[in-house]
Amino acid sequence: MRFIESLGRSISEAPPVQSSDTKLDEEARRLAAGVARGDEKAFQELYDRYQERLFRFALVLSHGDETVAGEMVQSVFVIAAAKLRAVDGEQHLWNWLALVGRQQIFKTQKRQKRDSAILGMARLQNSSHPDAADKKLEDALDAALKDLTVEDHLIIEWFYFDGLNHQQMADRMGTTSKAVSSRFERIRATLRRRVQRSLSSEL
Amino acid sequence: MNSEKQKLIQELVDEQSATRREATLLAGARMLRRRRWRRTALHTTLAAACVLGITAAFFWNTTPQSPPVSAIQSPAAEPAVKSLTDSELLALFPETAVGLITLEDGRKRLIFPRPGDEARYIKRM
Repeated sequence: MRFIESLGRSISEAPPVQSSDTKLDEEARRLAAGVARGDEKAFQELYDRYQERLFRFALVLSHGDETVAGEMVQSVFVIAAAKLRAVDGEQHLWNWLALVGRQQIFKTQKRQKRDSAILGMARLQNSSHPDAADKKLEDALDAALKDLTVEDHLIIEWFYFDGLNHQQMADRMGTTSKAVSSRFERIRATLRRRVQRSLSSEL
Repeated sequence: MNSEKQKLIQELVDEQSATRREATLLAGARMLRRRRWRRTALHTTLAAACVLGITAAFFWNTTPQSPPVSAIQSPAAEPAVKSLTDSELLALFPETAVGLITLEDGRKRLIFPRPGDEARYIKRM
């Protein structure tokens, strides 16, 4: 499947060239300096640039708890608005956001399970490397995709890779748009359940 | 992770994305306003302190300083002893003959040749 092949490609991709890194670093410095000045536009840009990545990280840290992950993302950005200062570059900025996120998740978990707070911290330290989080989430998604039927897999691929809409998929499958739509929602629910189960099973 | 997978995960597990964005930007904007206010307050305070410092330094340098107390008091406390020249000394006795001789040790002495003058003019301690 192209989906799986692209996974292999994305993992083996070479790191970005130096000029791209420099550009990212400059952008990160600009955004952090803007937020430090109280610039709302810079803050909005910072949010749009990092919220998805931070959410995925939070999702892994919270073992698939979407609500906790969402709260964490929100807290991190509010703290960033209040406290973010100058950064050296992109990696520095991401590490700062991830560190604050980790602290927020820990606080939430501590609130939820006061008795097992120490245990929770130990687990977090083992599983909270920002760069490892994406890999963990990707593995969970791959496992969930692998269990889909060939036809369900195709529907996901058409929608997310080929950009087909429900009507176009219906035409390919020789069925109605409504049928595709409800099937698509069922597949999404299944994937979602499996990803969350996979992440929570790491507890 | 490639962008398609990121999009898929985001759509699968982050259904509150739009609501959260709105709420976060709102809360963040409040923080940023507070931050801007603090910066402005800090800058204003610093500027005011600078102006105050410069003004104080200006007045310190331009105000005429009163002379030291010792300088005023010293003439009154210790009036300078004015020495008389030989001529001035001799001029003090215009009505009689008087001479001034220098002794071997360098001291000077008034001589009144007329009897009774010395007793008249000089009061022995």
